[in-house]
Amino acid sequence: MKSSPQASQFRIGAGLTRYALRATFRNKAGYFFSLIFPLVFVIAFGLLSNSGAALEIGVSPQLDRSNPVYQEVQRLSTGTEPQVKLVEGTEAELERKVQQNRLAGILAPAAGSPGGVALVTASSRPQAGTTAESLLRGITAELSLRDAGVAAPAHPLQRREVPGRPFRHIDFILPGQIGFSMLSLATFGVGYSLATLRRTLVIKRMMATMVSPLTFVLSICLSRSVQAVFQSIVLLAVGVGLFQFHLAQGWVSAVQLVFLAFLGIMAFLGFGILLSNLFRDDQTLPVVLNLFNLPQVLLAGVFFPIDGMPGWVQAIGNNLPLSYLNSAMRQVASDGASLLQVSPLLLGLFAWGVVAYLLAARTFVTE
Amino acid sequence: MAIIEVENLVKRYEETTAVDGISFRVEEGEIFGLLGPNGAGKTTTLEILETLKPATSGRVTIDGLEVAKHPQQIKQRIGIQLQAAGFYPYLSLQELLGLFGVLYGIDVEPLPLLEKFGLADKAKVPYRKLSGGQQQRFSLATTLVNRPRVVFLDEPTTGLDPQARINLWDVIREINREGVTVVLTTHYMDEAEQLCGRLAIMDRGRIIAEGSPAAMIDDLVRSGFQRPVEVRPATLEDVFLNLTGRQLREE
Repeated sequence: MKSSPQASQFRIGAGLTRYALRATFRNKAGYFFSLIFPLVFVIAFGLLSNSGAALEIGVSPQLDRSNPVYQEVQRLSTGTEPQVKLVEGTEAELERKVQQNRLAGILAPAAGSPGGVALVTASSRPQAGTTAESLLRGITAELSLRDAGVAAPAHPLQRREVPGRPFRHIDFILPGQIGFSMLSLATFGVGYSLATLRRTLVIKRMMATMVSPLTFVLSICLSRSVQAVFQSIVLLAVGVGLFQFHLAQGWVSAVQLVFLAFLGIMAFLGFGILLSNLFRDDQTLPVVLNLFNLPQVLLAGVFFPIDGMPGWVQAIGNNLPLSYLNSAMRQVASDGASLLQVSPLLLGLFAWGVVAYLLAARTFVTE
Repeated sequence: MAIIEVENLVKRYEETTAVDGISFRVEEGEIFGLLGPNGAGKTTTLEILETLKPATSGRVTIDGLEVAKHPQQIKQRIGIQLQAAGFYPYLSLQELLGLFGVLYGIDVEPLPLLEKFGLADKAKVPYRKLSGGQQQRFSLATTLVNRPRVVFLDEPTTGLDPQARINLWDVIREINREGVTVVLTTHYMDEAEQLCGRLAIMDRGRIIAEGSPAAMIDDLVRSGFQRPVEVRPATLEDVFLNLTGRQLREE
């Protein structure tokens, strides 16, 4: 060959990437874990975030509907964004719902004072009960003052609101699911398929041609990264299109997110290759891949934040490869952070990636 | 002129010696067979010749180039078929040949090559949808992508029905007629007798006999050997082929 070996490896790599990508997109089963799963979660949590903001309060059938407190509460349950949702039912039904924590409390007639109400709450759910209580306290106080003829109370409480966004599940869940998608693509998509290519002698056969092992691995990584970018765009589009996923800087944030996803998969791929080098048995490898993914799914903020966990668990959780990626993506999407501002997190991701690739290169085998 | 020269080739693993000091030569343009039972060291020998495994000691040259020192040049000169060849299952034959062209850095015209192996109508079919015989023939087709001087075939007909075997023999003969040297391993004596100009019999990592099939049989007969049973004028395979025809079957 006249051309320099480097140049020809580059061309071989480019061609191999193209064919590997074509093979990838034809294997429909390959999408299942890495795209369909996260997509289902995004849709499920996206639907969830559109309800559940209102405080649910039961109304006892015994309560006189002309009761002024009830009238006020009822006023709060109307409008486009109601604060309260009133639930009717028999005494027994409502009581059971409170016990099951499905209602914050029940409005019942107050013994001996027709102008007041009684609030029945469950001891197992103090938070919701307290919220209902303070709401009702406000209403009863205001009514009492009005009835006493006090127009300007001596101790007024003024409330001012800063513009803020309500917490929405989709804003938390989508970056986590993109991260999860990258992780499963790197482990099952690349790790497992490398093992299959090895077992079916595809790699060995290709090693008899001019392609070097390094070029081969880089081509596989590159073709999967293209798939990764495609998948994160799909997830983003679903989040934005169906559930108004919040992007602080609009399309700039979107591009940054996709770029972060790309960096994420590049780092995770090191682990996919490493694990497939170390555990070459068909039965063992999927188990090991799951053992690698599961702690990250639980502790890296894929489905829920870990703020409530003990300190040492948080210390581990916040330093997993996936948590660096997820945190960076959340800061970019929610707070409009720049890539420079999330660079400490990217450094953490990079460090994990370097460790993985060094070990993967040392242990790589073609059969 | 010898195109392959093997001298004192040894391959040792931690506890076993797979190849134990073998030497042989393959002449340019011949079909050379490596015969032997399972575990005799045939595949290991082939893989060292193919640059896929390093030798423990010994010297192998192909086309005047030492294999251990010039693996890239060797790879350009040889085509290989593995015992259980594997390809990206979702790519079509046409695409796979294109891919192999890329891997050798050359342009390939897939259709004439597929035509030669009777696979032209399967050009757009993914590899995984082929029958066993078709997969073997395709595997053979990939060995010719880089127009090699030598092809190595590891048990090319194992697992095929009699029709597919006969068809594959014809294909191998045709490759050879075009000037390509063929080195193959096999368990089947009839295959060796049909195809090979010369062969070496391996057992436990050593070559225990070498020569043309006819000469080896003559030697044995001269030594006083006699077959224990009368040879019938036809074999069961003749019966089978007479009943089912020699036409290649496609499932």
